[in-house]
Amino acid sequence: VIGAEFPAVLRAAQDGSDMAFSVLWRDCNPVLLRYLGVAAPNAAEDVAAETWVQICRGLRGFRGDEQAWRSWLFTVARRRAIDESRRRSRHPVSPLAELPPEREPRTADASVLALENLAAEAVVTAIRSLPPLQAEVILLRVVAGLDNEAVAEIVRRSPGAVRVAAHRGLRRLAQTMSPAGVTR
Amino acid sequence: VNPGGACEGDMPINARGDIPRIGDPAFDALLDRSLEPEGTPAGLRPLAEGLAALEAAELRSRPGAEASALAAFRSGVGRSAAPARRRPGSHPVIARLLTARAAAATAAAAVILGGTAAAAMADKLPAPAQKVAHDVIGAPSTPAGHPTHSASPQASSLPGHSAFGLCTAWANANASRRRSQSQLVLRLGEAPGERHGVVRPQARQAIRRALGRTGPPGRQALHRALACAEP
Repeated sequence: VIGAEFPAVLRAAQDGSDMAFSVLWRDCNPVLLRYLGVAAPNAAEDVAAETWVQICRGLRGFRGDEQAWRSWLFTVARRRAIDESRRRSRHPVSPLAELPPEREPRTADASVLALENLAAEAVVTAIRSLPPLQAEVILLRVVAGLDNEAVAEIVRRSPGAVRVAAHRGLRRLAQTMSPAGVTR
Repeated sequence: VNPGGACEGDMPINARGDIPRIGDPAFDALLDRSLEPEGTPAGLRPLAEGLAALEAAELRSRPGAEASALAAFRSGVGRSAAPARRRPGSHPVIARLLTARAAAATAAAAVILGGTAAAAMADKLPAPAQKVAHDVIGAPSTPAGHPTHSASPQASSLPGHSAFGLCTAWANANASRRRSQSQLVLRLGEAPGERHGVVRPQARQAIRRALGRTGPPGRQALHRALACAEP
């Protein structure tokens, strides 16, 4: 979260400052990837890139505080994730013949890097096992840092329904992750 | 196992006394991140610790992601500006026609092909790559007779038309999300030695795919690129 400097950073980015845009990107892209890792599995990086392209197009016209900025960002990301999901269902991807591991192009795998932290990995795995709405609202609340009303707007549910879904999801997670839970 | 002989893990959620019921303020506190793990009820403590770890864990983007976003930013903010502020030589029609996905892919193409999108914007790419960058992200076009730079390893090791063909094949493979193919096309252009390795058949496949989608002028360049990939 950028905090008090957000209005100045946003204004500078809207005026075309690369540095200001980088500040926005570095602040939000990790949480965006975290969210998309569940909302658009196997395409998180691509959907994030598409999200930023759309954000860039509308950046000059954006008005609002940091919470509104994040709401907009995650609204766009969610729509792109839904589009991606539909696209993949229409055009399933067939894997190419794989190269031997030693000949594979070497690039850092963001998902592998992300899972370096085992505690975080355990939570992500548990969240992925939740019903989609519960997983989504927990990520938007906890990872994206959005309030209940903002999340309700993004997922197009009532604030009450979002709160209940979040509680149900947390309760299920608590059961899964407690020492007496079913996975340990 | 409790005194009644039942395993706690088999008990229904509502029977787990240490986990609060739905509607409990402890859940709201967790969601608002206003409660430290130490202050949470015992049944929620592992979850609170996990959520704290999730929040703290660094999630790194793939290499080049920020540069791609910056390229999109430069082209996106520039496109929404008044026409008078557009850079001479930019290509607004093509830019407008590009979909979000294609824009992302081509912005990434400009970044990787030239090292950085800044190189494209600064007109520092070799002429063929600069032309692609000009077409897809509105980078300055290279005037006729402009000397070819040697900033790009792709073009420095290949003839100009072949490099342009590789650029097209790369963009095509990338837009089709054939990531391994696009990487291999890049590698084909990077090092002459790689042309004789396992890279070649995959690159040929990518170039042939590009042939099916390219107009006559691009086809010639692609055929030249294909010749580079042939045994």
